[in-house]
Amino acid sequence: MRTYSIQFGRFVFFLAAWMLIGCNSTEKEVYYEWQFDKSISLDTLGPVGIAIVSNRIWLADVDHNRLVEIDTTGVIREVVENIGRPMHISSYKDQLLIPSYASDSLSVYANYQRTKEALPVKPDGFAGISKNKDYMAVADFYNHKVYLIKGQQVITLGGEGHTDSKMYYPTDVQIADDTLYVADTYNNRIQTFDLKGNFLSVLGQDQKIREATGLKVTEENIFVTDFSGKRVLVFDKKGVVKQVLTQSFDRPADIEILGDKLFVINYGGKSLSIYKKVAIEKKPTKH
Amino acid sequence: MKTIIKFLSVVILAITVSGFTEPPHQDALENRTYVKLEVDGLTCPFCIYGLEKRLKEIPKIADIYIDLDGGFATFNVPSDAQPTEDEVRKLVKKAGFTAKKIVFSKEPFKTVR
Repeated sequence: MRTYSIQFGRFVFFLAAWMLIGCNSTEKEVYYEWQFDKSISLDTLGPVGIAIVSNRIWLADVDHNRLVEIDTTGVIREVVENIGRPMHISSYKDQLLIPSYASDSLSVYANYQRTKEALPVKPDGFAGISKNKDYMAVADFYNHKVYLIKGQQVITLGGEGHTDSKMYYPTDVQIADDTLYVADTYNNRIQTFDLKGNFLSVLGQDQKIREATGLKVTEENIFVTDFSGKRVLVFDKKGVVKQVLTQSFDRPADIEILGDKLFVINYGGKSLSIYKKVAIEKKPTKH
Repeated sequence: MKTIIKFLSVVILAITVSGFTEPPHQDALENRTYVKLEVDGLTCPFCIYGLEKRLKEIPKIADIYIDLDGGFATFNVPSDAQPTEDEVRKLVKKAGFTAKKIVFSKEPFKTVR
């Protein structure tokens, strides 16, 4: 009996010691967040879209019907003129894809050459574009639709409305991870679809977004500009808000990421807000 | 023969000079109607340039200016091609907005660009 008591006592002692050590674990947990770095004045521009091609930052200067390439200090390096109201430009490989809102046409800029590309659809207010290996997505502002295009095959999504899968003035699109993300601007939300056109989910509807104008999808996150709300929301892929960026925005319209830098274009403030990604160590957990 | 050539030269010269000296756009410049409309709901660049796109459906429209913060637009047209108030309202509605006050004037509106 005494032997059992000793053994039981040892067991309780080791259990207590394990719990004490375990609960004061010094294992460091690391996560990332975005911190404001600086703002760059772009007072000679009226920028609404941003895209990065081969590490070069391109802006859609909608007020002046042109594209400009800037360096990270805001100095203009190249200008492409005579584009009728370019909106949410995007990149595919070494190409810059340019939707013209005035002429509802698509042009491609690469190797200092601009060429027109035929579309199998006729948008009215060609606001945004995204392309991957097989698919292209087109945001059609006035028809409240997004077209998912594969060769000559077109899947039409949306249509005017406010319920799931319907849209109200969409302005931006991105195809990522076999998913189509739509900035359903005046429904104040993001919608996702699979590449067969099936509705998947809604993000941000509970975040009181004023106008969800621009989006950027990375491996881990979905970034959304809230134009009049003057902020950027960072969601995880499940739609949970991980961070809300508010510093130095004046009607942010679009977002891009290059390395550990986040670039947000401000249409109202005529500026570029730059955030940097920083690692944050969580304090050891104590139970 | 020389007289005929001289005569024809003078006629051709007169026609040419009169063609050049006639101010081609003077009439158009002097007879323009300036329009200012107040618009509800202008929020973003997609709105501004959507309205611009619709207003461009007005024949011979020029100098379209849209003020996002002020919530108004101005433009001018030759007076003989002046749209009716109803036509302007329909175009604004087609752009997704509601036109409030519309003013037609013979004088340009003062706008700070």
